[in-house]
Amino acid sequence: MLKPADFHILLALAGGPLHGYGIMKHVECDTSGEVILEIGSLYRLLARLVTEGLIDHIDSADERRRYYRITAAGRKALKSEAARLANVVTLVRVRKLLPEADA
Amino acid sequence: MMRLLVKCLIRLFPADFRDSYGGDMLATFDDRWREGCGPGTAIRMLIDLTGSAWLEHHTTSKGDRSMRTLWQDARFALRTLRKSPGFAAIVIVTLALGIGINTAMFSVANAVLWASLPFAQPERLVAVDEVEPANQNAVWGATYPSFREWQAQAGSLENMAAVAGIGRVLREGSAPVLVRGAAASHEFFPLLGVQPELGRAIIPDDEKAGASAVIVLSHEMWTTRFAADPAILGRTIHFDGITPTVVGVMPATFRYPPRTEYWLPFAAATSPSLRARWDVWMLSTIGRLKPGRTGETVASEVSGIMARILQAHPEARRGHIIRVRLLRDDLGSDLRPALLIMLGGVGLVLLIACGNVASLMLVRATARTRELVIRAALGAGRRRLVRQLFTEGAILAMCGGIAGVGLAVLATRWLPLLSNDWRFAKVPIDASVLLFALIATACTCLLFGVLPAMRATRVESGDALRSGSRGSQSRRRAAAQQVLVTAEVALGVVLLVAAALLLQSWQRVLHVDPGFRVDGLATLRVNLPPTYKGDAAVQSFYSRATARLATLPGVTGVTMATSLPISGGDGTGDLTIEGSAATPGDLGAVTTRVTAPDYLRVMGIPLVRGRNFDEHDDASSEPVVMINETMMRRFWPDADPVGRRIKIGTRNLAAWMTIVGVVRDVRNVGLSADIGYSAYTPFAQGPGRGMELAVRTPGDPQALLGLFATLSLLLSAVGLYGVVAFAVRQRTQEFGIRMALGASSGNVVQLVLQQGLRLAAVGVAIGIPTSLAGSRLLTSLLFGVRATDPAVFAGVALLVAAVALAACWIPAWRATQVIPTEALRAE
Repeated sequence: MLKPADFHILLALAGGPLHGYGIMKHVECDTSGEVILEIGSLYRLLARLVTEGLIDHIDSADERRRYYRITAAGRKALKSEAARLANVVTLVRVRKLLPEADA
Repeated sequence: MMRLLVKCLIRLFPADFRDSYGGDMLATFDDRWREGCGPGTAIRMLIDLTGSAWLEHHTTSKGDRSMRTLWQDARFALRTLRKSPGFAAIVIVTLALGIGINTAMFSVANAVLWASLPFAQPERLVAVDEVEPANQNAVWGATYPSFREWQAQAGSLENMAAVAGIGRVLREGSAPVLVRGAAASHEFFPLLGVQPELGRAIIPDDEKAGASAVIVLSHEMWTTRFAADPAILGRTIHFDGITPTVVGVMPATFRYPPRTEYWLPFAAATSPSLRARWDVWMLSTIGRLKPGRTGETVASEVSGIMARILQAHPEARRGHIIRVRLLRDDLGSDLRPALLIMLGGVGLVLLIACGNVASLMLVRATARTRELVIRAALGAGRRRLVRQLFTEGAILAMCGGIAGVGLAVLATRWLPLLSNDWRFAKVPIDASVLLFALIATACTCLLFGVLPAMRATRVESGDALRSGSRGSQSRRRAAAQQVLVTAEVALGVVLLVAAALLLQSWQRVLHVDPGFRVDGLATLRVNLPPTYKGDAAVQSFYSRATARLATLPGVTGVTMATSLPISGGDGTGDLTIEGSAATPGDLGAVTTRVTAPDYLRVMGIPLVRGRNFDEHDDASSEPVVMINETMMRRFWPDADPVGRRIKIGTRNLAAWMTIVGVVRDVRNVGLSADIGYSAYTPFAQGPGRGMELAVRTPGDPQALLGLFATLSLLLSAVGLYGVVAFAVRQRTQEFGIRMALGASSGNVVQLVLQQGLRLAAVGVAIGIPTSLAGSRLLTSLLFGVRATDPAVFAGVALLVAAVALAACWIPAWRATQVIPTEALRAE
């Protein structure tokens, strides 16, 4: 099971490599502004995801900037988390916990 | 600055984390900062960075040693502070007040004095005016024909526009209401570079003869008077005498001239004959400098054009000079001295706050000497101890800074409630203000973090350990505290004197400028429609109006004048003195205002000589006039002007008026030094159709001033109280012994009071001469009050004594309430 912030970072990177600011904006946009990762938190998460092998960084032409890319392991984790979330949504729907329009 | 701070915070992360991600984090920060962040985002960013760094150290085991020490110190400091919440709260609140009020004032000054106008390239916009040579604040403006000449001929300006303030009675709602607007030339909007929110601005066709009348509304008028009707374009608006069609609405950010609700083209707002007059100065003109040109080139160029105009049109008055200044300076100029005084004042408030916090920290550090020495004896290095106290100070300063910024945000929101000046209405807190607060915090932190730490660790260990032994205080520690209290009192005196002087000048500034805040004087402009024919009808209307106003509850006086001080729109005319050979124009111009008899009383203007108008000065009696002191000094330096006769105005209809009184100078034109010639004529001998009614209500003293004075006093009192209270509390043990040995509580209180007041007296004795010397530095900031004002000094000395008395009595009394056996155990 992935933590929500990790999940959102992986989700952002699933579309292709991004720089830190790109990830920040992607996450903010994906969650309609509900999750805002400030620099400190963002980089702690990135560092951990790198250590866990879910993402890695690639160097760019601009040597100050680094781009992050999802690894095969990361993609796998993302997929299984997405499947788990989809199951949860189905479950919620079956038990009629959400109004139909929202579900 | 923010970048530097982020850089520092990144240094807090463990070294290997920093090496891998530091540069990248900074790059990301740059991207993030570029999108334009408010103070809220900045604070969130800083807190997040600090928190993350802390977590990174604690969730991983790779934190490096020096950083771990820092976190250890921070944790320890938090724990110690939690043990004395009262102390921490006082320090944080004191800092927050100092920093918050400073940030708020800085924001205001920033917005009013230094901020750019919401126009395209405002640094190239200049105001061009004809002014009196002797008094450049007596602004004549420009006549319509000369504006067109300047515009056609001035080569150093890209273009010129003209605007004139007007007021028209709007008949749209249930009651007719006078609405402030402006007549604008078609160049006005393109010159300032503003686009309408809806429809179009004024175009050249609107200014042609026979064009149908059009109007451009401000966002304000559109939303408040027409409920933001989306179908407003094309609608006809009913004013007295004119029914223009709405063609556009300007955005909410644009309201120039200040408080304008609508703009009409000159063709709709004025008659062709008025626009042909070379002797009707009604315009403000604005020019846009060509690149590389300055105001001086424009001034000399326009002066040249003016000289040619005067040759061709002798009816245009001679003797004006051309003044060109940046539009930005023009807008903020009246508030500049007041704001600078306020800035000086709030700077002192911050100083008081810092001084208090520093001495509180010092006292605390002194009280902890034993702890520090024991830790030193157990092997803590001196640097280590200093660093730990520094961390404690830094944490307090940081909390104070954050609370201060929050307070500043609130204060700028409250400002419009305290002052009705339009420029205070929307004061943004921007990044530079945040920066200011952070610098203030950093300085404070250094001041009270390092100094007490250095002082506290410079104690010899034997001494300190002995001093904790039971019994009376050690002589040395007592001496240190006495020096401290004395210094604090002296400092308090110096700062209070400065604050009091600044407050007095602020009050004087307010006193001469009732145009720009609510201070118990409410004003109302009335323009009578043409249906009131003749002086008699006008007079009867105003006498009924003032009589009705006077019966309102809470009203202590009602008066009226054609214009109130500062509010502008004075009638101006050339002076002629009976028996003088000088021709009109040579003696200069006098601004006149038509006033009701009780004008002087209600406005608080003293009569210097002669008499005020009375009920006998009416249309049937001989015309009378009162002049100001400046006129008396200039024209009758040695003689009595009362009884002399003067004429004001060049027209033949100007009648001889007899001077009956001389009144104190009032800064009617602006706040700067020049006052100019002013005359007052009675309402009964020639009423104005448009009058300003002023209503005096009791109480409600200058809210801002009160807030400010209370704040600095409160801070000083808190500081003094804190120092004395700490000193007394440390002696709890001693008092316990004294009482166990038979001293009554009265004896103990008396002992503390005696010692405390002696120290306070010494402090005052040192503080008074110091502030006498120091206050001379303030002279340039002072206004209408001498730097050595004896009343101020005496008042401050008394006040400090009173505060010292309270500061000694309360803790002494509390000390006597402790049961002696508990006091003996206290450590």
